[in-house]
Amino acid sequence: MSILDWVILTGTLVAMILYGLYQSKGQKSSESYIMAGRQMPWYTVLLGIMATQASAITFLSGPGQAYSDGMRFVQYYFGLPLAMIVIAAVFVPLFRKMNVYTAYEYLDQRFDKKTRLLTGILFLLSRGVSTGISVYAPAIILSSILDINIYLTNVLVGGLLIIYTYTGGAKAIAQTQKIQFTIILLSMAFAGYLVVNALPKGVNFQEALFLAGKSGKLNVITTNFDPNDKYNIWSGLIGGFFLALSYFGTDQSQVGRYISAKDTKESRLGLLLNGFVKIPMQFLILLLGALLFSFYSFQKAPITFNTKAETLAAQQAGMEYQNLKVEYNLLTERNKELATNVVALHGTPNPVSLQKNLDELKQTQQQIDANRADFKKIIKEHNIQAEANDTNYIFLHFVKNYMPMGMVGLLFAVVFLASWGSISAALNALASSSFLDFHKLVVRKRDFSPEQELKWVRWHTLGWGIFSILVAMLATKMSASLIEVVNALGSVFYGVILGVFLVAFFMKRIRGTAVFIGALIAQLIIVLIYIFDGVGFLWLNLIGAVLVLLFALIIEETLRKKSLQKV
Amino acid sequence: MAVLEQKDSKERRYWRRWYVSLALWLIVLIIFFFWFTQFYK
Repeated sequence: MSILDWVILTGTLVAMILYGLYQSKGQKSSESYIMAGRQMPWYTVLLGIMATQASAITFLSGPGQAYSDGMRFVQYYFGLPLAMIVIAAVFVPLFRKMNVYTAYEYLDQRFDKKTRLLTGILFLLSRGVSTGISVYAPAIILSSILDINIYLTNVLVGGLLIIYTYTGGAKAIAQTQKIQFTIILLSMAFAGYLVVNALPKGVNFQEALFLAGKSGKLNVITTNFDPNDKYNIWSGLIGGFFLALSYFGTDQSQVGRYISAKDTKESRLGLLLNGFVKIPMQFLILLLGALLFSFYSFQKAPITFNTKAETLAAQQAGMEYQNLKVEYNLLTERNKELATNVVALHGTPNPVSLQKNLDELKQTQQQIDANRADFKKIIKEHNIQAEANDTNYIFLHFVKNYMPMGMVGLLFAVVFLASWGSISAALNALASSSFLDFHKLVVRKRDFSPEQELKWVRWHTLGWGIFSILVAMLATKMSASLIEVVNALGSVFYGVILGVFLVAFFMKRIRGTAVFIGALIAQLIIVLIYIFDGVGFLWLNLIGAVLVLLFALIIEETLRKKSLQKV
Repeated sequence: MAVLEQKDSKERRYWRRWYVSLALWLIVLIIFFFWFTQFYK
């Protein structure tokens, strides 16, 4: 990276911290710290919701996902608009009416303290660990590409944001998220323009799409029903609906964003507009990846986009790597020729020749994929200390090698800002929940003064910040498969938490003890299904929620019958 | 009382229009994606 890029990168990050500190002024009570004084307009809520959901990995893995697997990942978001409708219609008025600080506080009013504690603990457990992983995931990529020590990168990704999150709470988070997400969207749009601009002479946007489409990368909709397949229209609509309902309806990092709005109308508008823009935004991010695929068809894609992995493989795997590389180079050379032929023949009255080239192109692409898979095997067999899966490296490889000076620094800053946006909201949610749903409720029951409360929530924020960095540090010692397991923790707990809320909203007859026991049994079953790899993770949300409804109903009826018999 | 009820039903209609528009938007997007997938297949 050039000096200008480093200046832009560090300048953007320093400016963001200073802006966060500026927005931290006037914090006098826990209400202003946790709820931003309940003064947020709809556009701040909207950008806050989007910035909280979109972590750095969203912007890195999106293009990478489309490059390797095509655009079908967008189906994962199909249930989201429907979930926004349910949350705006049912969840928001109830949360606002009860004037709660955390989603779990509502369960205390509806059921009892033990149910509030149980859901609060499930949330803290899953969100706490996954925040650590969302520090580690971009840190490992940035560390590899920028050649910075991983421990230092963990601190840069997860530590600097603590400065303004600690001092300014929800208000500083909402205001910085607004700026962060605007910078991210504008930079990504400009990056898209530069990708199209970087295509070789004679290849325009339409032809790049044609090539990507014929290579199977524009498969937005897949209709096959397979419970083990993560991304198809059914898992997206049904599983995605329950995932979005759990995430936006019961995860405090999201609930905290929209209940800090001025009134019910502003909360609803923020949520509904998120439903309108989320899918098109994901579509465009994935389209960027499909265009990158076309770009690299003419530029000879590297055998891995994680350059560090290739350097280490060259040193440690010797001849095995060299032989593979020779074969791979020949294949990419042929691939380039065929892609050029296909684009040249597209639109000419020569369908037979076009088809012949397309068939050979597909075969070559399959061989390239096989070679890339062999390279991953070399990484694993030789125990090379680098990520074998290079999906998340694809976009940044392009940025680093083909973007103009200045833009490289800005896009690396985007990765940091995206991380900060989602991690800061998570820290605020964790601190609010651990203080209100646990500390205040269990550890110290007497009332605090507003100043004491503010002091304590700040300590909780700092504590969770340090915890997430420690998890990120620990993750550097974990194997890739263990990290995947930790990352999937959210889906293991979300369904059950959602089930408890659905019982609270829609099954007025059911009381605290029944839902508490039902949730415990359902959670145990979900963990077992997860361990034995029963179904794709999106379905766990639906199964978890349904199991809680079912068990709560059965237990309630049993308890009522028993009490009747006693009478 | 009647004024309050009228205001309430007006507000309910207002939000219903939002919910229907969002559901229709999802349908439009899915139809577009079907077309997109088939067109570039």
